[in-house]
Amino acid sequence: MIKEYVKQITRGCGEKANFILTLKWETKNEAIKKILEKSSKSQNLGGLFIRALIENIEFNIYTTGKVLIKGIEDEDKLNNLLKEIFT
Amino acid sequence: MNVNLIRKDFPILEKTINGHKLIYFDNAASSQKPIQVIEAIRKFYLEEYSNVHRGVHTLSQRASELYEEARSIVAKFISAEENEIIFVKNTSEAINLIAYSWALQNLNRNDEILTTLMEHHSNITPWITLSKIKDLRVKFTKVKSNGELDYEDLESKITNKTKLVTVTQMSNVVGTINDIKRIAKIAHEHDALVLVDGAQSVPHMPVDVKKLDCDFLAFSGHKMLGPTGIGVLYIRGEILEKLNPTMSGGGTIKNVKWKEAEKTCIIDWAIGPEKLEAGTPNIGGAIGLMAAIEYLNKIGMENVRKHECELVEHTIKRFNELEKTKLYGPLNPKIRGGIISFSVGELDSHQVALILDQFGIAVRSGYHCAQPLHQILGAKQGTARASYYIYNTREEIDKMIEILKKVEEIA
Repeated sequence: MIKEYVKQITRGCGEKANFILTLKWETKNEAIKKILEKSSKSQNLGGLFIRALIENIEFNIYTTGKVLIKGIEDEDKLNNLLKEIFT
Repeated sequence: MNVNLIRKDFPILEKTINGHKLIYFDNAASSQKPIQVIEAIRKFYLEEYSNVHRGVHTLSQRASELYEEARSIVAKFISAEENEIIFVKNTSEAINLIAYSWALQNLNRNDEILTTLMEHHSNITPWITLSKIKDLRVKFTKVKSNGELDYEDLESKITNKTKLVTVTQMSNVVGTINDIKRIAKIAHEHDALVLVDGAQSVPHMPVDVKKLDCDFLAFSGHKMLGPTGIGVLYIRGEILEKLNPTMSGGGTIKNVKWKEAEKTCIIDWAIGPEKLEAGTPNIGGAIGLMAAIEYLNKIGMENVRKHECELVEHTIKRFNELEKTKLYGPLNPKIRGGIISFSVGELDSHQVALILDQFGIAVRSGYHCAQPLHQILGAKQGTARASYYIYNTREEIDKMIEILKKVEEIA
Protein backbone atom coordinates (compact mmCIF):
# COMPACT_ATOMS: atom_id res chain seq x y z
CA MET A 1 0.00 0.00 0.00
CA ILE A 2 2.87 2.41 0.75
CA LYS A 3 4.01 2.15 -2.87
CA GLU A 4 0.59 3.29 -4.00
CA TYR A 5 1.06 6.61 -2.24
CA VAL A 6 4.77 7.14 -1.64
CA LYS A 7 7.28 7.71 -4.43
CA GLN A 8 10.36 8.17 -2.30
CA ILE A 9 11.56 8.29 1.31
CA THR A 10 14.73 10.29 2.01
CA ARG A 11 16.52 10.61 5.32
CA GLY A 12 17.33 14.28 5.95
CA CYS A 13 20.46 15.28 7.83
CA GLY A 14 20.38 16.90 11.23
CA GLU A 15 21.17 15.94 14.81
CA LYS A 16 17.58 14.75 15.23
CA ALA A 17 16.55 12.30 12.55
CA ASN A 18 13.92 13.31 10.05
CA PHE A 19 12.53 11.84 6.88
CA ILE A 20 11.14 13.44 3.75
CA LEU A 21 8.36 11.58 1.98
CA THR A 22 7.60 12.42 -1.61
CA LEU A 23 4.01 11.45 -2.29
CA LYS A 24 2.93 10.21 -5.71
CA TRP A 25 1.33 13.15 -7.48
CA GLU A 26 -1.70 11.23 -8.74
CA THR A 27 -2.66 9.90 -5.26
CA LYS A 28 -1.28 12.85 -3.28
CA ASN A 29 -4.63 14.26 -2.11
CA GLU A 30 -5.88 10.85 -1.00
CA ALA A 31 -2.61 10.22 0.88
CA ILE A 32 -2.83 13.60 2.66
CA LYS A 33 -6.44 12.83 3.59
CA LYS A 34 -5.35 9.51 5.11
CA ILE A 35 -2.58 11.21 7.13
CA LEU A 36 -5.02 13.80 8.46
CA GLU A 37 -7.60 11.14 9.32
CA LYS A 38 -5.05 9.30 11.46
CA SER A 39 -3.82 12.44 13.19
CA SER A 40 -4.86 13.40 16.70
CA LYS A 41 -4.24 17.09 16.01
CA SER A 42 -3.61 19.14 12.91
CA GLN A 43 -2.89 22.79 12.30
CA ASN A 44 -2.46 24.97 9.23
CA LEU A 45 0.61 27.11 9.82
CA GLY A 46 0.21 30.46 8.10
CA GLY A 47 -0.97 28.77 4.92
CA LEU A 48 2.61 27.54 4.46
CA PHE A 49 2.11 23.93 5.55
CA ILE A 50 -0.07 21.66 7.66
CA ARG A 51 1.35 20.11 10.79
CA ALA A 52 -0.35 16.86 11.85
CA LEU A 53 0.49 14.74 14.88
CA ILE A 54 0.26 10.95 14.78
CA GLU A 55 1.48 9.13 17.91
CA ASN A 56 3.57 12.21 18.81
CA ILE A 57 5.26 12.09 15.42
CA GLU A 58 5.12 15.29 13.41
CA PHE A 59 3.95 15.19 9.80
CA ASN A 60 4.62 18.52 8.08
CA ILE A 61 2.63 18.46 4.86
CA TYR A 62 3.41 20.75 1.92
CA THR A 63 1.32 21.53 -1.18
CA THR A 64 4.08 20.06 -3.34
CA GLY A 65 3.23 16.59 -2.04
CA LYS A 66 6.25 16.42 0.21
CA VAL A 67 5.95 15.51 3.87
CA LEU A 68 8.66 16.16 6.46
CA ILE A 69 8.38 13.64 9.28
CA LYS A 70 9.98 14.53 12.61
CA GLY A 71 10.23 12.59 15.84
CA ILE A 72 10.98 9.11 14.55
CA GLU A 73 14.51 7.74 14.45
CA ASP A 74 14.10 4.30 13.01
CA GLU A 75 13.29 3.62 9.35
CA ASP A 76 11.59 0.29 10.11
CA LYS A 77 9.30 1.98 12.62
CA LEU A 78 8.53 4.65 10.05
CA ASN A 79 7.63 2.01 7.47
CA ASN A 80 5.32 0.28 9.92
CA LEU A 81 3.63 3.58 10.74
CA LEU A 82 3.21 4.39 7.07
CA LYS A 83 1.71 0.95 6.45
CA GLU A 84 -0.79 1.65 9.23
CA ILE A 85 -1.66 5.06 7.74
CA PHE A 86 -2.00 3.97 4.14
CA THR A 87 -3.92 0.71 4.55
CA MET B 1 27.53 42.12 -17.47
CA ASN B 2 23.95 41.90 -18.73
CA VAL B 3 22.07 39.43 -16.55
CA ASN B 4 18.93 39.65 -18.67
CA LEU B 5 20.89 38.59 -21.75
CA ILE B 6 22.64 35.83 -19.82
CA ARG B 7 19.31 34.48 -18.58
CA LYS B 8 18.18 33.98 -22.19
CA ASP B 9 20.91 31.36 -22.56
CA PHE B 10 19.37 29.28 -19.77
CA PRO B 11 15.96 28.05 -20.96
CA ILE B 12 15.39 26.17 -17.69
CA LEU B 13 15.03 29.52 -15.89
CA GLU B 14 11.74 30.07 -17.76
CA LYS B 15 10.36 26.90 -16.21
CA THR B 16 7.49 27.00 -13.73
CA ILE B 17 7.99 24.98 -10.55
CA ASN B 18 5.00 24.40 -8.30
CA GLY B 19 3.11 27.16 -10.09
CA HIS B 20 5.88 29.75 -9.75
CA LYS B 21 8.71 30.85 -12.01
CA LEU B 22 11.83 28.97 -11.01
CA ILE B 23 14.31 30.80 -8.79
CA TYR B 24 17.40 28.64 -8.82
CA PHE B 25 19.49 29.23 -5.69
CA ASP B 26 21.21 25.84 -5.52
CA ASN B 27 24.32 26.71 -7.50
CA ALA B 28 26.79 25.60 -4.84
CA ALA B 29 25.42 22.08 -5.40
CA SER B 30 25.32 22.34 -9.19
CA SER B 31 24.79 25.10 -11.71
CA GLN B 32 22.39 25.24 -14.63
CA LYS B 33 23.73 24.84 -18.19
CA PRO B 34 23.56 27.41 -20.99
CA ILE B 35 22.45 26.37 -24.47
CA GLN B 36 26.03 26.90 -25.70
CA VAL B 37 27.24 24.03 -23.47
CA ILE B 38 24.32 21.77 -24.33
CA GLU B 39 24.90 22.44 -28.05
CA ALA B 40 28.63 21.74 -27.83
CA ILE B 41 27.97 18.33 -26.27
CA ARG B 42 25.19 17.59 -28.75
CA LYS B 43 27.41 18.54 -31.70
CA PHE B 44 30.23 16.34 -30.43
CA TYR B 45 28.03 13.25 -30.13
CA LEU B 46 26.21 13.93 -33.41
CA GLU B 47 29.15 14.90 -35.58
CA GLU B 48 32.54 14.37 -33.99
CA TYR B 49 32.37 11.40 -31.64
CA SER B 50 35.08 8.79 -31.47
CA ASN B 51 37.48 7.49 -28.85
CA VAL B 52 40.59 9.59 -28.27
CA HIS B 53 44.34 8.94 -28.47
CA ARG B 54 46.21 6.45 -30.61
CA GLY B 55 43.50 6.27 -33.24
CA VAL B 56 44.84 7.04 -36.71
CA HIS B 57 41.48 7.54 -38.37
CA THR B 58 40.20 11.07 -38.96
CA LEU B 59 37.35 11.04 -36.46
CA SER B 60 39.56 9.78 -33.64
CA GLN B 61 42.08 12.48 -34.39
CA ARG B 62 39.33 15.14 -34.38
CA ALA B 63 38.03 13.88 -31.00
CA SER B 64 41.62 13.83 -29.66
CA GLU B 65 42.16 17.38 -30.84
CA LEU B 66 38.99 18.55 -29.10
CA TYR B 67 39.87 16.70 -25.90
CA GLU B 68 43.36 18.22 -25.81
CA GLU B 69 41.96 21.63 -26.73
CA ALA B 70 39.72 21.33 -23.67
CA ARG B 71 42.81 20.60 -21.56
CA SER B 72 44.47 23.67 -22.97
CA ILE B 73 41.43 25.92 -22.29
CA VAL B 74 41.22 24.61 -18.71
CA ALA B 75 44.93 25.23 -18.20
CA LYS B 76 44.70 28.82 -19.39
CA PHE B 77 41.62 29.40 -17.22
CA ILE B 78 43.65 28.76 -14.04
CA SER B 79 47.03 29.92 -15.44
CA ALA B 80 48.52 26.43 -15.46
CA GLU B 81 50.36 24.49 -18.16
CA GLU B 82 48.49 21.96 -20.31
CA ASN B 83 50.58 19.08 -19.02
CA GLU B 84 49.55 19.92 -15.44
CA ILE B 85 45.82 19.29 -16.03
CA ILE B 86 44.28 15.91 -15.30
CA PHE B 87 40.66 15.26 -16.17
CA VAL B 88 38.80 13.45 -13.41
CA LYS B 89 35.16 12.82 -12.49
CA ASN B 90 34.76 15.62 -9.94
CA THR B 91 36.44 17.38 -7.01
CA SER B 92 35.98 14.41 -4.67
CA GLU B 93 37.75 12.12 -7.11
CA ALA B 94 40.53 14.67 -7.59
CA ILE B 95 41.19 14.87 -3.83
CA ASN B 96 41.06 11.10 -3.50
CA LEU B 97 43.49 10.80 -6.40
CA ILE B 98 46.03 12.92 -4.51
CA ALA B 99 45.41 10.92 -1.34
CA TYR B 100 45.89 7.56 -3.04
CA SER B 101 48.73 8.51 -5.37
CA TRP B 102 50.95 11.34 -4.09
CA ALA B 103 50.16 10.97 -0.37
CA LEU B 104 50.20 7.17 -0.41
CA GLN B 105 53.56 7.15 -2.20
CA ASN B 106 55.25 9.95 -0.26
CA LEU B 107 53.90 10.09 3.29
CA ASN B 108 55.23 7.95 6.10
CA ARG B 109 54.28 6.98 9.65
CA ASN B 110 53.67 10.00 11.95
CA ASP B 111 53.67 12.46 9.08
CA GLU B 112 50.96 15.08 9.42
CA ILE B 113 48.22 16.43 7.19
CA LEU B 114 46.75 19.77 8.17
CA THR B 115 43.23 20.56 7.06
CA THR B 116 40.46 22.75 8.51
CA LEU B 117 37.09 22.38 10.18
CA MET B 118 35.58 24.36 7.30
CA GLU B 119 35.99 21.58 4.78
CA HIS B 120 33.47 19.66 2.73
CA HIS B 121 33.50 15.99 3.79
CA SER B 122 35.38 15.17 0.59
CA ASN B 123 38.40 17.06 1.94
CA ILE B 124 38.19 15.29 5.31
CA THR B 125 37.26 11.66 4.75
CA PRO B 126 40.07 10.71 2.29
CA TRP B 127 42.65 11.97 4.78
CA ILE B 128 41.12 10.23 7.79
CA THR B 129 40.92 7.00 5.79
CA LEU B 130 44.48 7.32 4.52
CA SER B 131 45.77 8.18 8.01
CA LYS B 132 44.52 4.80 9.21
CA ILE B 133 46.28 2.96 6.40
CA LYS B 134 49.60 4.83 6.71
CA ASP B 135 49.49 5.72 10.43
CA LEU B 136 49.43 9.45 9.76
CA ARG B 137 48.05 12.27 11.87
CA VAL B 138 45.32 14.57 10.59
CA LYS B 139 45.08 17.97 12.29
CA PHE B 140 42.24 20.47 11.96
CA THR B 141 42.54 24.25 11.89
CA LYS B 142 39.85 26.04 13.88
CA VAL B 143 37.15 28.22 12.38
CA LYS B 144 36.07 31.41 14.17
CA SER B 145 32.42 31.91 15.14
CA ASN B 146 32.01 34.38 12.23
CA GLY B 147 32.97 31.64 9.77
CA GLU B 148 36.50 32.91 9.11
CA LEU B 149 39.50 30.63 9.27
CA ASP B 150 41.72 31.03 12.32
CA TYR B 151 45.09 31.65 10.63
CA GLU B 152 46.93 31.87 13.93
CA ASP B 153 45.64 28.44 14.83
CA LEU B 154 46.77 27.15 11.43
CA GLU B 155 50.23 28.56 12.02
CA SER B 156 50.39 27.03 15.49
CA LYS B 157 49.44 23.60 14.19
CA ILE B 158 51.86 23.34 11.31
CA THR B 159 55.10 21.53 12.17
CA ASN B 160 58.06 20.08 10.35
CA LYS B 161 56.13 16.81 10.21
CA THR B 162 53.35 18.47 8.20
CA LYS B 163 53.61 17.24 4.62
CA LEU B 164 50.35 18.57 3.26
CA VAL B 165 48.05 21.48 4.00
CA THR B 166 44.69 20.88 2.36
CA VAL B 167 42.10 23.63 2.43
CA THR B 168 39.07 24.96 0.62
CA GLN B 169 39.39 28.30 -1.14
CA MET B 170 35.70 29.04 -0.54
CA SER B 171 33.51 27.44 2.11
CA ASN B 172 30.53 25.64 0.60
CA VAL B 173 28.49 26.56 3.69
CA VAL B 174 29.33 30.11 4.73
CA GLY B 175 31.06 31.28 1.56
CA THR B 176 34.22 32.42 3.35
CA ILE B 177 37.06 33.04 0.91
CA ASN B 178 40.30 31.86 2.43
CA ASP B 179 43.64 33.54 1.88
CA ILE B 180 45.38 30.75 -0.01
CA LYS B 181 48.52 32.80 -0.73
CA ARG B 182 49.01 33.29 3.00
CA ILE B 183 48.38 29.60 3.71
CA ALA B 184 50.74 28.52 0.90
CA LYS B 185 53.49 30.76 2.26
CA ILE B 186 53.15 29.24 5.73
CA ALA B 187 52.99 25.69 4.31
CA HIS B 188 55.98 26.08 2.00
CA GLU B 189 58.09 27.57 4.81
CA HIS B 190 57.58 24.19 6.47
CA ASP B 191 58.20 22.23 3.24
CA ALA B 192 54.59 21.11 3.13
CA LEU B 193 52.63 21.00 -0.10
CA VAL B 194 49.28 22.75 -0.56
CA LEU B 195 46.10 21.26 -1.94
CA VAL B 196 43.27 23.67 -2.69
CA ASP B 197 39.65 22.54 -2.93
CA GLY B 198 38.45 24.91 -5.60
CA ALA B 199 34.97 23.42 -6.05
CA GLN B 200 33.29 26.64 -4.94
CA SER B 201 35.91 29.20 -5.92
CA VAL B 202 36.93 28.31 -9.49
CA PRO B 203 33.38 28.73 -10.88
CA HIS B 204 32.91 32.11 -9.20
CA MET B 205 36.15 34.11 -9.14
CA PRO B 206 39.45 34.42 -10.97
CA VAL B 207 41.81 31.66 -9.82
CA ASP B 208 45.48 31.64 -10.79
CA VAL B 209 47.49 28.67 -9.52
CA LYS B 210 50.75 30.53 -9.98
CA LYS B 211 49.62 33.53 -7.95
CA LEU B 212 48.12 31.27 -5.29
CA ASP B 213 51.33 29.22 -5.29
CA CYS B 214 49.41 26.01 -4.67
CA ASP B 215 50.65 22.53 -5.59
CA PHE B 216 47.30 20.89 -6.26
CA LEU B 217 43.92 22.35 -7.19
CA ALA B 218 40.69 20.38 -7.54
CA PHE B 219 37.38 21.48 -9.04
CA SER B 220 34.23 20.20 -10.76
CA GLY B 221 32.75 21.05 -14.14
CA HIS B 222 29.11 20.78 -13.16
CA LYS B 223 29.30 23.70 -10.71
CA MET B 224 30.60 26.01 -13.45
CA LEU B 225 28.00 25.58 -16.20
CA GLY B 226 29.57 22.34 -17.47
CA PRO B 227 28.17 18.81 -17.47
CA THR B 228 28.32 16.34 -14.59
CA GLY B 229 31.02 13.66 -14.54
CA ILE B 230 33.92 15.92 -15.46
CA GLY B 231 36.31 17.57 -13.04
CA VAL B 232 39.86 18.84 -12.99
CA LEU B 233 42.93 18.16 -10.94
CA TYR B 234 45.86 20.51 -11.33
CA ILE B 235 49.21 19.10 -10.20
CA ARG B 236 52.30 21.27 -10.29
CA GLY B 237 54.53 19.97 -13.12
CA GLU B 238 57.55 18.84 -11.13
CA ILE B 239 55.32 16.90 -8.69
CA LEU B 240 53.38 15.23 -11.49
CA GLU B 241 56.62 14.20 -13.17
CA LYS B 242 57.63 12.08 -10.18
CA LEU B 243 54.18 10.62 -9.53
CA ASN B 244 53.31 7.04 -10.39
CA PRO B 245 49.69 6.14 -11.07
CA THR B 246 47.78 4.01 -8.59
CA MET B 247 44.92 3.50 -11.02
CA SER B 248 46.36 2.32 -14.28
CA GLY B 249 45.53 0.67 -17.55
CA GLY B 250 44.87 1.94 -21.04
CA GLY B 251 46.34 5.37 -21.65
CA THR B 252 48.50 5.50 -18.54
CA ILE B 253 51.47 3.73 -20.05
CA LYS B 254 54.19 4.19 -22.63
CA ASN B 255 55.07 0.49 -22.85
CA VAL B 256 54.10 -2.79 -21.22
CA LYS B 257 56.84 -5.20 -22.24
CA TRP B 258 56.70 -8.94 -21.67
CA LYS B 259 60.04 -10.15 -20.25
CA GLU B 260 60.29 -13.83 -20.99
CA ALA B 261 63.23 -14.34 -18.62
CA GLU B 262 61.41 -12.74 -15.70
CA LYS B 263 57.98 -14.11 -16.66
CA THR B 264 56.35 -10.74 -16.04
CA CYS B 265 55.57 -7.41 -17.69
CA ILE B 266 57.73 -4.32 -17.26
CA ILE B 267 55.77 -1.07 -17.27
CA ASP B 268 56.98 2.31 -18.53
CA TRP B 269 54.49 4.92 -17.39
CA ALA B 270 53.37 7.69 -19.70
CA ILE B 271 54.96 11.04 -18.98
CA GLY B 272 52.14 13.59 -19.10
CA PRO B 273 48.79 13.94 -17.34
CA GLU B 274 47.40 10.92 -19.21
CA LYS B 275 49.29 8.65 -16.83
CA LEU B 276 46.62 9.52 -14.26
CA GLU B 277 43.69 9.15 -16.68
CA ALA B 278 43.18 5.40 -16.80
CA GLY B 279 40.84 4.07 -19.47
CA THR B 280 38.64 5.97 -21.89
CA PRO B 281 38.08 9.41 -20.40
CA ASN B 282 34.89 11.48 -20.32
CA ILE B 283 35.53 13.08 -23.70
CA GLY B 284 32.08 14.62 -24.07
CA GLY B 285 32.35 15.97 -20.54
CA ALA B 286 35.68 17.67 -21.27
CA ILE B 287 34.23 19.24 -24.42
CA GLY B 288 31.20 20.46 -22.44
CA LEU B 289 33.53 21.92 -19.81
CA MET B 290 35.52 23.68 -22.53
CA ALA B 291 32.29 25.30 -23.80
CA ALA B 292 31.42 26.32 -20.23
CA ILE B 293 34.81 27.96 -19.72
CA GLU B 294 34.55 29.75 -23.04
CA TYR B 295 31.15 31.06 -21.89
CA LEU B 296 32.57 32.25 -18.55
CA ASN B 297 35.59 33.80 -20.28
CA LYS B 298 33.28 35.90 -22.46
CA ILE B 299 31.64 37.29 -19.33
CA GLY B 300 34.96 37.61 -17.52
CA MET B 301 35.60 36.06 -14.11
CA GLU B 302 36.15 39.49 -12.53
CA ASN B 303 32.61 40.39 -13.62
CA VAL B 304 31.21 37.10 -12.27
CA ARG B 305 32.80 37.85 -8.91
CA LYS B 306 31.60 41.47 -8.94
CA HIS B 307 28.02 40.43 -9.71
CA GLU B 308 27.96 37.88 -6.89
CA CYS B 309 29.56 40.36 -4.49
CA GLU B 310 26.69 42.76 -5.23
CA LEU B 311 24.13 40.00 -4.68
CA VAL B 312 25.73 39.11 -1.33
CA GLU B 313 25.78 42.77 -0.28
CA HIS B 314 22.10 43.08 -1.21
CA THR B 315 21.22 39.87 0.66
CA ILE B 316 23.02 40.95 3.83
CA LYS B 317 21.22 44.30 3.71
CA ARG B 318 17.82 42.66 3.22
CA PHE B 319 18.48 40.03 5.90
CA ASN B 320 18.64 42.91 8.40
CA GLU B 321 14.87 43.22 7.96
CA LEU B 322 14.42 39.69 9.28
CA GLU B 323 14.14 39.20 13.01
CA LYS B 324 14.30 35.45 13.57
CA THR B 325 16.58 34.54 10.69
CA LYS B 326 20.19 33.88 11.50
CA LEU B 327 22.77 34.35 8.80
CA TYR B 328 26.00 32.37 9.17
CA GLY B 329 29.42 33.43 7.97
CA PRO B 330 31.32 36.67 7.34
CA LEU B 331 29.32 39.85 6.74
CA ASN B 332 32.02 41.39 4.58
CA PRO B 333 31.18 40.61 0.90
CA LYS B 334 34.86 41.06 -0.01
CA ILE B 335 35.74 37.82 1.76
CA ARG B 336 32.51 36.01 0.97
CA GLY B 337 31.35 34.22 -2.14
CA GLY B 338 27.71 34.03 -3.20
CA ILE B 339 26.74 31.47 -0.58
CA ILE B 340 24.17 32.36 2.07
CA SER B 341 23.42 29.80 4.77
CA PHE B 342 20.76 30.61 7.32
CA SER B 343 18.27 29.25 9.82
CA VAL B 344 14.84 30.60 10.73
CA GLY B 345 13.90 30.45 14.41
CA GLU B 346 13.56 26.90 15.60
CA LEU B 347 12.50 25.59 12.21
CA ASP B 348 14.33 22.64 10.75
CA SER B 349 16.40 23.59 7.68
CA HIS B 350 14.40 21.13 5.56
CA GLN B 351 11.17 22.83 6.64
CA VAL B 352 12.48 26.14 5.34
CA ALA B 353 13.62 24.56 2.06
CA LEU B 354 10.29 22.76 1.59
CA ILE B 355 8.35 26.00 2.14
CA LEU B 356 10.52 27.88 -0.36
CA ASP B 357 10.12 25.01 -2.83
CA GLN B 358 6.38 25.63 -2.77
CA PHE B 359 7.15 29.06 -4.25
CA GLY B 360 9.50 27.69 -6.90
CA ILE B 361 12.65 28.66 -4.98
CA ALA B 362 15.31 25.97 -5.03
CA VAL B 363 17.59 26.07 -1.97
CA ARG B 364 19.49 23.23 -0.35
CA SER B 365 19.06 22.19 3.28
CA GLY B 366 20.90 20.07 5.83
CA TYR B 367 24.63 19.90 6.49
CA HIS B 368 25.77 20.39 2.87
CA CYS B 369 28.36 17.64 3.45
CA ALA B 370 30.08 19.81 6.08
CA GLN B 371 28.82 18.45 9.39
CA PRO B 372 31.83 19.52 11.53
CA LEU B 373 31.36 23.17 10.47
CA HIS B 374 27.66 23.03 11.38
CA GLN B 375 28.60 21.67 14.82
CA ILE B 376 30.97 24.61 15.33
CA LEU B 377 28.38 27.12 14.16
CA GLY B 378 25.81 25.57 16.50
CA ALA B 379 23.49 24.73 13.61
CA LYS B 380 22.59 21.26 14.83
CA GLN B 381 19.66 20.82 12.50
CA GLY B 382 21.61 22.07 9.51
CA THR B 383 21.10 25.25 7.53
CA ALA B 384 19.12 26.35 4.51
CA ARG B 385 21.51 27.53 1.80
CA ALA B 386 20.87 29.95 -1.05
CA SER B 387 23.78 30.07 -3.46
CA TYR B 388 24.02 32.40 -6.44
CA TYR B 389 25.43 32.51 -9.94
CA ILE B 390 25.61 34.72 -13.01
CA TYR B 391 21.88 34.44 -13.81
CA ASN B 392 20.53 35.36 -10.36
CA THR B 393 19.05 38.77 -9.65
CA ARG B 394 18.27 41.11 -6.76
CA GLU B 395 14.56 40.67 -7.54
CA GLU B 396 14.87 36.94 -6.94
CA ILE B 397 16.53 37.61 -3.59
CA ASP B 398 13.75 40.06 -2.69
CA LYS B 399 11.15 37.39 -3.44
CA MET B 400 12.93 34.97 -1.11
CA ILE B 401 13.07 37.61 1.63
CA GLU B 402 9.33 38.25 1.36
CA ILE B 403 8.62 34.55 1.82
CA LEU B 404 11.08 34.33 4.71
CA LYS B 405 9.11 37.12 6.41
CA LYS B 406 6.03 34.89 6.23
CA VAL B 407 8.08 31.94 7.50
CA GLU B 408 9.20 34.01 10.48
CA GLU B 409 5.56 34.42 11.51
CA ILE B 410 5.36 30.70 12.25
CA ALA B 411 8.94 30.12 13.38
